[in-house]
Amino acid sequence: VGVSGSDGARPSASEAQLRELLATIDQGYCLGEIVLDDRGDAVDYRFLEVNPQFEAMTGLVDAAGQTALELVPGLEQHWIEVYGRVALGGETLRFTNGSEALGRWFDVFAMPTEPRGRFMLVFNDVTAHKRAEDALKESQARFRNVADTAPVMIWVTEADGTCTYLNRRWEEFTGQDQAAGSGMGWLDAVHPVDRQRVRATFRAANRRAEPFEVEYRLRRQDGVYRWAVDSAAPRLTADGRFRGYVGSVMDISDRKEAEETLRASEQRFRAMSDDLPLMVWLHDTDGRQEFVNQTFCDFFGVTRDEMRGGRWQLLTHPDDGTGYAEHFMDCVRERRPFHHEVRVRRGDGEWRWLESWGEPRFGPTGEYLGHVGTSADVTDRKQLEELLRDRGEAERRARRRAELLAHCMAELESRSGVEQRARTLVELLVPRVADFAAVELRTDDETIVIAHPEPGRISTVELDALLDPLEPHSRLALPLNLAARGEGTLLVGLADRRRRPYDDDDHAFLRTLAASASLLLASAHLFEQERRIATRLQRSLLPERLEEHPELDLAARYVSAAHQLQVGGDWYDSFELADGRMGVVVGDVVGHGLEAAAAMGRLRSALHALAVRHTSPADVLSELDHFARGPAGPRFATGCFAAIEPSSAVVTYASAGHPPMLVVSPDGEVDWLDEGRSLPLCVAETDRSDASTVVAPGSVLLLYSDGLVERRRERLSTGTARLEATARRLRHLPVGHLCDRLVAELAPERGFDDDVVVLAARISPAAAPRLRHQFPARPGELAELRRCTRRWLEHRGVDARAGSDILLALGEACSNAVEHAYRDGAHGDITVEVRPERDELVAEVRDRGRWRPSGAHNANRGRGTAIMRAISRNFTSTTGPEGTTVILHLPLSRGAR
Amino acid sequence: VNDPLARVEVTHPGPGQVALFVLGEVDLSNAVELGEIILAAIGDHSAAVVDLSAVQYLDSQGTRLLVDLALADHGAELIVVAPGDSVAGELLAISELHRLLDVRATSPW
Repeated sequence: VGVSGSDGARPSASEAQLRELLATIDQGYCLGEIVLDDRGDAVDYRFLEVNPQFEAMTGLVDAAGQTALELVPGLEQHWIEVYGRVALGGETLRFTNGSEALGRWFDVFAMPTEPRGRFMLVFNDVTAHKRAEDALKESQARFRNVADTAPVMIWVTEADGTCTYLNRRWEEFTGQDQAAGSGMGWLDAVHPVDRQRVRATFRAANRRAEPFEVEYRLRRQDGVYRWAVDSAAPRLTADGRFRGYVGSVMDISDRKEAEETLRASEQRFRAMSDDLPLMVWLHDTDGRQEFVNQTFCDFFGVTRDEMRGGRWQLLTHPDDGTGYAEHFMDCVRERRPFHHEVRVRRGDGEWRWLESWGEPRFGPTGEYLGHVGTSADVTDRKQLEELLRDRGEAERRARRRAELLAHCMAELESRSGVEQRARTLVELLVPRVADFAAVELRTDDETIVIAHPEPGRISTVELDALLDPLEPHSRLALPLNLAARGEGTLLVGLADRRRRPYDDDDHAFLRTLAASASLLLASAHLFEQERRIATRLQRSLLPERLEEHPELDLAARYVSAAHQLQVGGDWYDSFELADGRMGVVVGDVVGHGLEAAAAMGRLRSALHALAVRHTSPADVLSELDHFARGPAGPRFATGCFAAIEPSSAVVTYASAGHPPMLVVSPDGEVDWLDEGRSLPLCVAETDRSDASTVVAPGSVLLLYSDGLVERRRERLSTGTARLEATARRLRHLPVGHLCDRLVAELAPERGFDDDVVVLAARISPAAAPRLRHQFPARPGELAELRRCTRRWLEHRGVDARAGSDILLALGEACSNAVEHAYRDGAHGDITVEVRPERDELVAEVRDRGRWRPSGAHNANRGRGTAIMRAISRNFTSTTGPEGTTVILHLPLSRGAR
Repeated sequence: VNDPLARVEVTHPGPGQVALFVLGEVDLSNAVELGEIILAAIGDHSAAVVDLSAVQYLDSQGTRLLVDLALADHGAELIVVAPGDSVAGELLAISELHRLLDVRATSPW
């Protein structure tokens, strides 16, 4: 109850309390105000209040009263923009970002506050953590971040080096259970020969609190020792203190073999290139020579070792050398193709003209890898040129080939998937060397057949039909050897009879091309496999399938971020609650990598366990918060939880700092469930409350993580508007398709920047038109019951005056139950059920308490009963050992009492 | 922070007069506190009008509040405003509180 008027207003007590609370928490806190320019744009912001932690975390002294730009003149514009969105746009945001000007990283929770233009921040300095993460990344670059993402076994140790957590996968793999492995017991599973070394490595790293990685043989359940790589990252407290490690162990025996074979295949490629009549060379990103083929060595009369590191410059003609080297280094710097002619001294001492073609090489993520190129002795051509000014057919071919080989390798490297690279290859070959090209590839996962100019993937049978009409000398089959990763064939064919059939020279060239393409296809396959392992780990922490319900269609999707191997901390779940309602949840643990994934797994299990013991989503979130603030909890997490009563289409929900759920009715009406909001988990002790809503039968409830709507350099409201429009358009699809289309249509062109979870629940269109509402027997819950009942009556088209009578009768019955049913201190639930029968509604109010009529309020209770009798056609109240049931028969229109 | 369920606007139309305009919903969760607020506002004024015409929900908890007000020792002349077709008016009619309270359809001030 609040008071306002001429007797004077007092500030909202709860907001003052919240601010007081925020001033004392361990996180940094401040109250700020946006500074606007003449046009009303945010140009700066002023700190109004800060807590003591603020100074420690930002290094800004006496900030209160000063503006951000006064304190930090070089402060990045994005801070002002984002707080402008919060303070002026009313958005509540949670993000991690760094400031170069401050040299720090922060986890920030920002929310608007009254009056407009003000905002509150709660944040943590995560610089130390960020640095540890970066250090970890670097140490593992050798495996392209695999160790951080692909492992399956997870362990956690404390600062003193004792192991306190081993996941189930460890037990499944080693057969050693959690109890046996704790302390230093896990060393028993390590091969006796490796044990001493592993122990020493671990202890040394633990002393220095540094990330480490160690390979050893690990005993599998069946007694076989498998090679494993164990990588660990320090766990740090917010202020950077070492708390122990979180580590992952991955079985790399298969990969070790694959690497061996890949190395062998690389050697084969190099060996094959030795047979080529062209000189082939590879340079690294600094322009240093990495590899030259045998033809190159033979030509110059040197060995490979002698050539390493750039000695080739000494072999060039003194008049040409400098210009040649400068031009080459320019191309390296600018990552562009290279073409040059130069005189060099051949092994026998003769000066020869050499023409070189080079192409920059790029990896799947666009990083520059160095140049690849070919050189040919063009002295004869030069002489001919000088004499005849004519190049000749064979020579042009040689030049085209050299160019094509370099071009193909560079183009393939810039694509990321196996299928993408195969498609690029066949597209590059037509029409340059063939009228028709195809790749047939069999890996352990699948068979890919791609032909050009045929569209899409085709079957092997279709491929044979394409090849059959060709003359034998107009087609070539070149082996593609992906070592242990698979094998296949590159097919090229000439359909145009005017073209010259393939000869031995063509064959040799295409064989080399196939060998180099094999290498790139194999590495793409390795990358795809690693990514699949990372995704599988994430999936293993999510429910295998959603629990089913006859009156509720459920579907959920998890989409990994497109460009990172790291797994995220998003999760979803569904389960039946003790009272028969369905609980659905979506949450998001801030951060990436194993720690976030492991924290997500723990939160999910905890929520599942808590949810079956409570009826209020807000209570579940509060309990989860208690759990999450324990030692194994994450630093920051958000989540939303809804309990759905499918038969009456009542949704009760609460959200801890999570983006609001969305309801789309069959008519296309959109309702954002933006009540029941509270602080994210792990921020501060806080009150959380439920909200309820009645949705139209056939409506779809959507839960999602912020990755679905957030895009870089875009306002959040743009993303939510896009979600709303898309969900409305797709609302009639089955929920599984709906989820698929939502993620497909909302994904940015280059894929999602972050992991995305979406969960859809459709309440059966045939949902019985019954209202069922269950709530804890507390006075504060009565308003929610009325709100919910009002909406239900509106949906049923009940006359407003009759509706207000029905509310009154229900209110009386429930007040009685709250006051009297649980007087002995127990807080049970009250269940309200309303169903239509002919021209009336039958309402049942049940409690499970021991009804104790009391003297003090008897007069009032009598008044309540009189009201119920006056409104209803029939009123009964039955009390038994199981509790009390009140049944009211209420007319659907006035005057029919 | 949720909006409070009900609030009271207080005005002073003339000397010794206090008008209390109640908005929102009154139930078990706030009736006692609301009663205390109203009683405090009446204080030692000689005439008070409690206007319930805009109340959206009122049940027997609310009638208890009104009965307590009528019986309280404040010395003010108390008038309750509740038109017959309002939520409060209908409830007062059902519970026959007209006998105890001076209920009117419009405010005298």
